[in-house]
Amino acid sequence: MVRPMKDTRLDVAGLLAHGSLRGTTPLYLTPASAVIESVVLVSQLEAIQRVRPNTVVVLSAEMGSGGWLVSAALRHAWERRASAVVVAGSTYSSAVIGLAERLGITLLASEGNPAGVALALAAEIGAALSVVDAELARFARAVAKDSTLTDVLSTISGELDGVGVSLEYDGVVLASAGMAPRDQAEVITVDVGAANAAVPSALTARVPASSVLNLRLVRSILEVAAPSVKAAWLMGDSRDAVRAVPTAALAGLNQSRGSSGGAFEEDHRHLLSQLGWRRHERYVAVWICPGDSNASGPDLTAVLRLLWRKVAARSPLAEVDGGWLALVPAAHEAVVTQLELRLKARLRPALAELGLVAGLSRWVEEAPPLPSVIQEARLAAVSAQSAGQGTVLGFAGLGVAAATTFVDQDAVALVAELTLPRLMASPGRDAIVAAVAAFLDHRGSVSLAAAALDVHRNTLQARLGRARELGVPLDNPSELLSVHLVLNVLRAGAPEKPTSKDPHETRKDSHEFPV
Amino acid sequence: MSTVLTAEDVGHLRTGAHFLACAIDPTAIHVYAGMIQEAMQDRSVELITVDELASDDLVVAVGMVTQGLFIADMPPVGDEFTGCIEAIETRLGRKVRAIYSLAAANINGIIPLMVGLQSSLPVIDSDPMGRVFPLISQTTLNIGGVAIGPIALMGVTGERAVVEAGDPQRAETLVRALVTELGGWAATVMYPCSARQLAEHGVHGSVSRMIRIGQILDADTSAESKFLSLSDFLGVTRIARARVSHIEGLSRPTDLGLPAQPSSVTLVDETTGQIIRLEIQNEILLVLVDGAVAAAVPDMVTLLNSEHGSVASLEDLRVGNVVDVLKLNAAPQWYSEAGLDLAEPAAFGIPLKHPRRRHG
Repeated sequence: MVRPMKDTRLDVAGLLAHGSLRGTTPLYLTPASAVIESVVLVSQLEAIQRVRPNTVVVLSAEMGSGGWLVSAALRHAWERRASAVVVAGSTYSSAVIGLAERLGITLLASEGNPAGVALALAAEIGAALSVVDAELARFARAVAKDSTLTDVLSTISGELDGVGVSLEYDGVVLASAGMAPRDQAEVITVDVGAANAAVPSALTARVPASSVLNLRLVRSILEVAAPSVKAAWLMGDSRDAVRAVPTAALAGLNQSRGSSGGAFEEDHRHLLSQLGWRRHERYVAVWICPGDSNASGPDLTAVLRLLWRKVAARSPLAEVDGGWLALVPAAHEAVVTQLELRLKARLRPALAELGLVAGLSRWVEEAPPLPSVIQEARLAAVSAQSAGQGTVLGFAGLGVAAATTFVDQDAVALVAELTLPRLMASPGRDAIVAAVAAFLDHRGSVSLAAAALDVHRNTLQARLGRARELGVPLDNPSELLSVHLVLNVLRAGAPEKPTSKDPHETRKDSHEFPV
Repeated sequence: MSTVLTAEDVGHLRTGAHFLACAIDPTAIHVYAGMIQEAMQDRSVELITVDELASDDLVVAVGMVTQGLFIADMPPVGDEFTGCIEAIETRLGRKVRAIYSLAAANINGIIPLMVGLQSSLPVIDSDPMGRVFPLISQTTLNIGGVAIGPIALMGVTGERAVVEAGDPQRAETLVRALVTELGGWAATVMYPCSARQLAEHGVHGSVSRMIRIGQILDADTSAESKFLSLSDFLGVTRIARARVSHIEGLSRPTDLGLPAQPSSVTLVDETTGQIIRLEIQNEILLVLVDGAVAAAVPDMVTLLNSEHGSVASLEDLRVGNVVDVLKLNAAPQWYSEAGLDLAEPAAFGIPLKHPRRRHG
């Protein structure tokens, strides 16, 4: 259990009661006692313009004690959010005291030389700071004992009264501890460097606006903890890298796509068992890869490994050719469903932020060979690329449709231009393409296709007739697959259908017929 | 273009001279204005611009230098200024062609008219301060490098002295010492220079400006309309309309070289709650609004009675009275580095930089 840092803050009321300000006479006291962090003894008014907030401004005796001087000093001190102004004892008019009240700044008169007050106050602040230093040293020792990132973050959060502390990369929270504040918070960030030099990451504390924590102290604590965060991250990452060796090796061996999964397992039986893979054990694979196949970004392995812990901490994530791979034991179908849900709930926003997508393999009753599981996940991930960054796609929901992902869309569009020139030139092309594609989607059912497009079946019939006139070979079964493929590509390339209804289109519930 | 001044002009000039130095007792201005108007019944005085003179014509500044004695308490005999002009002419071996005011405000704003009536010399519509400063070295001629001496002084007893000192600060010290010995005030003639030097380094239009201010303030219009006219004519701004809440005496140590005792006045602007503090030493040197500098010498600060729009004297600053605190800029020369060196608050013992200096 971490002992929270001792409160060493000094304030005006405390020091007036039993500290170095005891010898002063309050001319005006603010209702709320101001915090004191430093003291300056000034002999020129301009010097007050440079003091830090929460400073006690002591006007030296040489400056005099004129009303205008005190007025101007109060103004400067107020502008700098000073804690209080101490002036030489004298008879001050109600106007000067009235200004202190108006500006809301404490005004004290010293009975002796104000320099004496400044010296005593400086000593008291110094003593308080040395207590802070000792506390920071204790904290540094405590945090250095933690070996995992979670423990380090918990220790930091505990030190800061349980405020939310997180390790972040480019706005993505990689790991966190404590309570994130609901209300407005002061965000304090310290650079961590990184486990990987190319990946800048930050240690962040979110201190609620209502908190009494001293923000400079929070920053000091984060700075002291940053090396421990980095060390724990590095250590965790290297542990994960070791654990991921069997997965990486398996992916490396499984390069040739031609051979069947079963034959691969047979060929490498000994090696696989040495790596710790057991035959007939069921696994589900997760493949993560960049959302854009041409993109090359920073090495995100260390970042992804931390994120992966939120999904399946026990199954290591391996860096493989073309992405990252994890194999999670899945004895029951529920495990796969859970895994997909967790991926979507906990990882999707981060994947989107990092420009990545993920694919999952299916759960099959009969344990499939490991290479097939990996290939399924990879194919699902590649299919997910076309659905945008952050997409998580299961191969189960894809099946043979995955094949269409690998169709060269540009080539198919070119085939359409060359073989169906009249259709391509037709002004009603998009409506006709949509009608024929829907017709084929519904295995030649005009009623179902019309319902799917929300048009009258006569309209659909008319469009099918028009398609035939324009040379679309709808009546030759051997050409239907190709026609369907071409139309799917054309349909995907068509502009979005406007939301307002075309006035010339006859709805299916209308009794009118198309003209 | 030369103008023959009328008795009415003198009346307005009296008001303008008081407006530009409201913190100084105006009794002497009134005494002089009365004498001048009386004398104008059979003589006339001519106001000319400096460029009406030949460029090497000898011109001199005329003005009273006081050291603790009100002129009204021991009035001049009458020949003091003409005696000083003679002394300078004798010393330089040349005739003075025209005179100008040492400071175009307060009593020194009106004295040249009297001297002009006595000597038949024309009065130049220029001066070397554009306002009033307590020290004779605080002039734009000094900034421009025009020599202050020789200086002729003549006191109420008829004793006369001519001071020759190269350094204006040293001249100041000698003149102050002599004035004390001469009885508390002395008529002086100084800054003898060519019309060209005055044209180059003086502040121009300053006598006619006092007359114009007087015309505005003496008019039978509301206080607000007077303020608007002043704002149009001089760029006057109102810092506050506030009620006097506190008056205190000495609030800082006085420098021996400075003539008067300082004091300060606190006012409260009842609409905004702002606390306004005036620091006064001969003149209103500094205005703090809630402790922030709103105006500082060489800016001119003057007070108007908020009800009648008449100039408020220090006597009118009584607890409970409401006055308008107005600010107007001094001549541009005063905001140069050399000008601020001579006339910013620090020159009056207030260790504060003028806001314009901070902004380059």
